Parts: sequence; C-alpha cells; structure tokens
Amino acid sequence: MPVTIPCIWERIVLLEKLSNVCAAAGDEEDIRAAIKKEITDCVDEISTNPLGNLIARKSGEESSSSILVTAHMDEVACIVKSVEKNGLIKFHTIGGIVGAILPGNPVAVGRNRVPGVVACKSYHIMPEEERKKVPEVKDLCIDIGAGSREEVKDISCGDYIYFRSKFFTQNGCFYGKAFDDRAGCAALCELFREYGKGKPPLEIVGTFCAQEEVGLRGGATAAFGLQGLLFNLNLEGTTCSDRELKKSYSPVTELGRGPAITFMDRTTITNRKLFEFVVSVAEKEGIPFQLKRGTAGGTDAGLIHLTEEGVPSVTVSVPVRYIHSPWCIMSGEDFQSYIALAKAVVQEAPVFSL
Amino acid sequence: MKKLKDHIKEISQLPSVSGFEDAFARLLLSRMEGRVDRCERDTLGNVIGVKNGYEGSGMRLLFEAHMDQIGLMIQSIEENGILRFTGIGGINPLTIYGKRVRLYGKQTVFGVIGMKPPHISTKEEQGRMRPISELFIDIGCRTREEALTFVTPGDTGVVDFIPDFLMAEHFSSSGLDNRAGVLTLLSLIDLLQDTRPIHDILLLFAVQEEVGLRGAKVAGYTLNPDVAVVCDVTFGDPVGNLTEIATGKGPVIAKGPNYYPPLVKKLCEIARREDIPFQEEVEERPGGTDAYYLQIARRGIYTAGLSIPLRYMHSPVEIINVKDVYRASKLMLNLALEEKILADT
Amino acid sequence: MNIQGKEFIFSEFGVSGREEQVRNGIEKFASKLVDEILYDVTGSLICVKKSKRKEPRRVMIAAHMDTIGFVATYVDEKGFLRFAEVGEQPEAYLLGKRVVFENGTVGVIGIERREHEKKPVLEKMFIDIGARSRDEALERVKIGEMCAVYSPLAVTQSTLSGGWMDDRIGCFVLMEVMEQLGKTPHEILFVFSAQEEVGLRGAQTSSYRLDPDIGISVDATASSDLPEGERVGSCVLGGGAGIKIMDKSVIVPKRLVQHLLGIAEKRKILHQQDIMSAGRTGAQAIQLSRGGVLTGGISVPVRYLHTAGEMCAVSDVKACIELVRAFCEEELPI
Repeated sequence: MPVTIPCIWERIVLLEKLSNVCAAAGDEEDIRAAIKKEITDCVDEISTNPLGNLIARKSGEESSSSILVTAHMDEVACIVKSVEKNGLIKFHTIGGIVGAILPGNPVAVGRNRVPGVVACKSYHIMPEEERKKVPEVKDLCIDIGAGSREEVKDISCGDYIYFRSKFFTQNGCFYGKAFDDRAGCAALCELFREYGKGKPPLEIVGTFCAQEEVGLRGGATAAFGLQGLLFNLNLEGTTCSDRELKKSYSPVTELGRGPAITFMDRTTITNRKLFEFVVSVAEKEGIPFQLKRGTAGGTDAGLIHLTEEGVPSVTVSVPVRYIHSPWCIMSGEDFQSYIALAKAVVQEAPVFSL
Repeated sequence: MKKLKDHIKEISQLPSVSGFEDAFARLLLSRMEGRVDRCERDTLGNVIGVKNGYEGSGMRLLFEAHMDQIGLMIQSIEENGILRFTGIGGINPLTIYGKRVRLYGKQTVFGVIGMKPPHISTKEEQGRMRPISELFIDIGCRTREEALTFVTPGDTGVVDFIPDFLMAEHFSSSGLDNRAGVLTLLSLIDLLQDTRPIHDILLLFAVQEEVGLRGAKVAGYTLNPDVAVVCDVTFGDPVGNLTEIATGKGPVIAKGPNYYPPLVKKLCEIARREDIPFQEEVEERPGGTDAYYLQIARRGIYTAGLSIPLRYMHSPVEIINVKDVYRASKLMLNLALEEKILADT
Repeated sequence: MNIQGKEFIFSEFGVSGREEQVRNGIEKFASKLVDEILYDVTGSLICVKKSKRKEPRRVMIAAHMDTIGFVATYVDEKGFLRFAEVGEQPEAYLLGKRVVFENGTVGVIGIERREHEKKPVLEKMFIDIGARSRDEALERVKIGEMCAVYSPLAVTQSTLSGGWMDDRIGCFVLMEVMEQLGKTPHEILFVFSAQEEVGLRGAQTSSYRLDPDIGISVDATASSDLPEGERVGSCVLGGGAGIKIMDKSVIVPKRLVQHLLGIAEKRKILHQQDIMSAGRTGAQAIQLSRGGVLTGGISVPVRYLHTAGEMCAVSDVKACIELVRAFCEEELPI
C-alpha cells in the first residue's frame, strides 16, 4: 500500500500554518478553512455541525467498527465588550486567561485584524498597592490609537481579539501561540495524511472540535449518533510546569519526556483498560511517554465519554509550557513522539476491547 | 400593545415556582388552545405548542422562554410555630428581609420574614447579612400543630409583591424573570394568527430553568429543532450595570460563542429593516440561559438569544418596559416569516 | 440487623472509576437472584429482574457503588506521594487519616507544616507510605493509583457507621430488596452505578441506555441533628426512610412524592421528608435523561457525610428497604 511518510520538516510547516491562524470559540471560520485545505485530498467526506465542529471521515479496511479522534480548533483569546467614549476598547476573555499576562501585549482586533495594544499603566505612575495587585480583566482596555468612539470604524462588540505571536523554532523547540490545541489539530491532520489514498485498519472519524475553551461545547456534540465506536482518542496540549515549581510538587508534565497520557482529569477518569492499552502501545513501539501527573483541567473527552450510552475515552497530550499565554514553548521531539503515538494507537485500535 | 398590557397583569399574579409550575402551565395551555395546531406537556412539565408550516419546505424553528420563577420551600416547622425555609433558585437574602410572603399550602397564607428591629439589634448585627438558614417565616401561629393546619413542609411560596404600571410604559412585578419572555412568546402567538409561515413554529415554555436549565435540556433532546431562539431577561439596570443596556431601548440581541453568528446577523438585519430598535450584548461564555443546553442538544442546534432588559433582577420589584416585549415579539415574527433563515444550510 | 453475607459491601475497595473489586462482589451476590447482568461503559453494574408480563413497566432503582477517595499524582524524590481528590471532601477531615490503596498498601495523610493545619489545603498535603525514596515508593504504588480513607464498619444495636455509608448503604438496601422482593408485575433494573461522586457519570450513561419508565435513586442524605448544628436538611437519624422532595440537583414531581407517601402510610413504614438546601444525587442524571424520566429518591439519613465516621440508624435502613421493596411491588403512578 503506497503511503506518504512526511518528512519531519512538513510537520513543522503544518504546525506553523495552523498555530498562526487566529480562531477562538465561535470564530473558527479561518481554522476550519485551513484544516480543510490540508486534508481534503485524503478523506472521504467533510462536514460541519451547528457548533462549528469540522468532521472528517475516512473509511477503513474493517467496516464494522470505527475510532473517533478529536482535537479542538479554538485558542484562548479576547472579545470586544464595548468601545468607550474615549476610543479605548473594553473586553472579556474567551477561555481561561489570567489577568496578569494581558497588559503590554500587541493584539489584532476584529476581522480586519486592526493592530492595537493592551494598555499597560506606566510603572512610574502606579501607586504602591496597585503594583502588587494582579489586574482584573474588567479594568483593562485595548488602545488602537483612536481618540474617541466616533473615530473607531469597523470594530463593534462581539469582535474577536487575538495575540499576534508568530511561530518560530529555536534550539529544537517551537515557540508560538495556540499550541493548545493546534498541535492536536496538526497531529490529526497527519493521521489522515499517513493513510493518504489508502485505508486505515478501521474507519476514522476525525472531529476538529469548536469552542472547547468555553465549556467543551464541540465535545458535547462530537460523539452523538456515531455507531460502532471502539473508543475516542482525544489529542490535546497540556500544562508543563517544569520550570516553575519546587521539587516536591508535580510539574504535571515535563518537556522532552514525550507525550503525556491522562489517567484522570477534572472531567474524565480514563477507563482502566483503555489507559493500559495506550501505555502498552507506546511501550511496544518504543515511543517515549510520560503520565500527566495532575488532575486539573477538563477536556472534550469529558463530555464525549458520557454521550448517549457512553464511549471509553483517553486523552494524550503534548506538554506545552506557558499554556494559555501569548508565547508557548513545545519540544520538537515531544511533538514527533506525540504524532507517532497517535498513529500507533489508531493502527492497533482493532485489537482493543473493553 | 393594549392586549399585552392586559395579559401582563393576569400572568404576573399566578405563581410558577421551579418544579411547581402546574397552575401556570394550565393557563398557558388554555391561551394556546385554538391558536396552535397542537399543544402538550412533557414528562418534566415543559409546555410545547406547534404551528405546522408547509410540509417539507421549511425548517423547524423553535422560540423558547422559561416559565418558572425563583421561590422558596418550607423545610421544617419549629415547636413555636415559626417556619424554616430554603430557597428554590437564586434567592438573595437581601431581597427577602422583612418582606411579606405568599405561601401555597392547603390554602394561600401570608407570612412575614421576621427581622429584629433596629432598637434591639447591635450595630454588628445590623451590618451583617444573615444567610437563609438563619431566617424564618412567621404566619402568626403559636404551636407547630396550629401551623400544620395551614401549611406543611414541602409547600412552596413566593415573596409577595404589587404589580404596577409605572411611568413611560414600565411595569413592575415579581417574577418578570421570566414573565417577560413568556409574554413575548404569547405576543408572538397573537401576531402569528393570520400568517402562514413555511417553517414549523415550535413554542417551548420550559420548566426549572432557575434551578439548572433542566427543562430545556430534556426538551432540546425531544424537539431537536433546526434553529432555536431563546427569550430571557438581561440586566438593564440604570445604576451599577456593567454595560449600557437600558430598558425601553429595545430587546437585546446576544453575541458570543453560544449564538450562531449568521443567525445573529440575520436578526440584526431584520431589526434594521423593520425599524425595530434593538441593543447588543456580548456573552463571552455560554451559560446562564436555556440557550446553553439547547445549543448542544443531540448533534447541535443553531441558536440565537433575544433578551428583554430588566432592572433589579431576582427582587420582588423587577421592572421591564412593555415596549421592549412588543418589539421582541415583532422581531421574532419577522424571523418566522423569512423564507431563508440560514444562508447555507 | 443481620448483615451476614453482605459485609463485603462495606469493605470492598471501589473508588470512582476503579470499582472493579466491589463490582465483582455485588455481581457474585446478585447472580443467583436476577435474570440478567450487564455492564455499562462507565463501569456500572446492571442487574435485571425480568417480568412475566408482555410489555412490563421498567423500573430503575439505582445506588452508587463508588466511594470518594484520592489518586496519587506524583512521587517526589524522598518517596512522598502528592495526591488529588476523587470526589469532594472537606480538607479538615483528612489530616492524620489512614488510607488504603487498591492493592492493600497503607499510607497516612500528612501536611507540610503545623501552621498549615489551621487552614488545610490539598496542595500542602501528601501521603506517606513509609518509602525512603522515589524508586521504593513506585514499587508499591504507581502514579494514577487510587486509595480511600480507611473506615472499617462498626455495628451497634441501633447504628451502623464507617464502611463508606455514602452510598454503600444504598447498595446494601438494593441487595436486601433483591433478596426480599415479592411478586411484581414490573421489570426491575437494579443499577449499581459507577463514578457518581465525580459527576453522576454512571447514572447518566446507564439511564440513557436503559431508558426506564420510572426511576428511584437510593442515596445517603444529610442528617441535620447535631448539637447546635446547622440546618442543611430536614431529616434526622431515626426519623425513618427519607422521601426526597428536593435537593440542589433534583425537584421530585409532586405526584411521585404523594405516591411514595401513600405507600409508606399504607404499609405503616416510618418515613420523613427529605428537603435539602444542598447536595446532589443520581436522581438528577436519571430525571434529565433523554426526554425526561419521572424520578424520585429514597434516602438514608447519614451524619458526618464524606468522612470516615458516616453514621446511620438501623431502623432507617430497614424502613428504606421496606419502602423500596413496596415501591417495586405496587402499581406505578404512570
């Protein structure tokens, strides 16, 4: 069976393309278009659902069973709440962003990507107590240079605001925004491209979920109505605190130790047999891996595994330092192993049973 | 508009505490009788009306408003005849101190939520907010036996109120969250009378929204419409509001991940075309209205949110502007009459 | 009360998501008493007692077999385990408690400094299994393994305590009903649900699958009878079987409450109303399944919920057994 084995460079280009796209919960038009372009030649059908999920199907050698592979398309961002009389823009965050990282960032506002900055009060004129406090989002604003509300054209409430970080590589690591979860999207695209014009061992339903960051909304509808699902493999990006914490505390994951397998998070307790299956596949293929050593955070798997009568679900994540901020760091090796593990799990899936 | 005003006063008198909406539901069913092709209640008590469109031509278009309101339930009766109670839905103790309450027991009984007078309270006591578990209702009985002849633990009640028309078409009452939405739908039903939209129009008066959007969750599964427009209330306070939304300036079209952008755009276009004043508001995270569950029913539903601005939410003196209700129903009517609601589906 | 043959329900390991041990025990017990045994994807055990009628009403009676516990998330260099909670627990009740892992390893919960004891938080706690290094610890306990607070059952003439009453006492009630059930025209689905403490997950998937006509959740409810205690609910120990009116997760429809009250009065079963300002039970998952299911709750009042000293009254347990049994035998309000 002729198979395209992409060289390492292509995967990096793919990650660059996808992570540079600006798309957040409710505004995923551009990422859907970008992904469609990448996989349209190697899947049988593509559709969307009312939440905005992009669903790609590729039939397999065995027709009776299938696997659902998911990754979410949305990144954390901000949304315009109102344009004030003085021309400054008030905003909300879409998804979990800590107030502390916002001031002083360059941003792009609205469909026209109007450049602006998150205003940052000069340190020199801040009273003592204010210097120690973490700013609240409701007190922050964005400056696009306008002097009054009338001067602001083409920006209205509901417009999205994105970080302007652009992907680059350095010293074997990737730097950029939205690795949570464009890394997962890249891996899912790669999965389809792996089989190219050929057939995977079982049907792959690949759902690029929308609106994960505001409550796993795409995940809530992703598994409904799907028949014959063996299990769900959810590809994510996860916390990596290996630079920050004292030695006696868990870093959750560490850069360079491979993709992390989740045994439990806030929304899922991974089915024991499925967890052991994924670990055994990694061991068999010699793929380095670690366990996600912490239970914080919810993922689409949380709602997928409880859809209808239930489907076993496991989350595999690539470690991302400084997740949910304008600049994330990921290890190039971790990214390769992450994709390799996803592929191996799909390849071995037919032997899995509860 | 006159009809609306007549509706309002009648509707605001009948209670519909979450989980105990029967009487109110019967009223709604009687209002829909003869004006829709079919109406019924489901297992949880949701009231559903259907006006058939042209077979096979249009979409299934749902208009929804929750019909329940917050209230209280008697939890136990003390030896000395005072009643202990708990809240149903988001009851703020601040709004019930010293108020008169209406209890629906064997008969309707009035009670007072007792409060220590300023003369004998310490400064510290006066400044402290007491939680509901420390409050009690006094119905004037001296023993538990006497109290039990009027009420039983498990009985529900609401804070008493005086429904009033205020200036500039404003109306004040308890429970306008979400009588405002219910009225909008009733007004829509009136307006739909001499029309024949191609779409199937579904009307859902949901139960138990105030305790967790429960009615909408199950109704979304059963009805599974193509498009859903949720009508609830939003903050229109003149003081302390985080937005510039105000009563009397038109219904509020909601934007954000919980609402399908092309549908939101359509509503704004129709409003401009028909000269219906409207306001806009961003909800950055799904939650807080029935749209939360309707959007994710089964494979997903295209949703929009249209809200009536309201002052002093969850207090016995909520205020809305009747013009906003009428405008909202007109906007819904025009959406229902559009041949193509969604461009590409 | 004679619990011979059923003691295992109060001692078998079964933290949310890892219920295999207790599930095996219940399955062994039930296999002789019911017609069909099914598992659901989340780990719940479903025991079906079929009916001779052609199209019988399907009655779901559910209790959750999972208990709260902890999961080991990290082992530091010195062999101390950091952990996360599985199910909500008040931190104050954890210090110094002994825990038992699935494989029998015993540990103790400690906290970093004395000053942290005043306002204990999970981040400052750890489990000590007496290992001297990371490697030694990992030989005995793996990352991802779960443990529960050691709480052996204590039985007196009038009370039962320990033994994870929430909700093993509910499971016990179901098991007794399974044994004592008389003639009934209905199909009875005894569901021992999994993962309730982390979000009613087993009840959700099993309700969807079974699509019952009516459901009853048998759970522990807070007993509000402590000295100068806070009033969170309306039940007291010894007041009889709790008939649920309302809690934070479910409002039981009046017609079902009336039906249960009627049965209790008819069969002279001591009962009390269960009205809670807090609390969440599997009844919600059943009630909001698919297009909605008529659902109620029968509760065993329990003091000190989510601690090692959970205590209930034997008389209340007996009353619950009788009421559940009566409900299964009588005609239904649908």
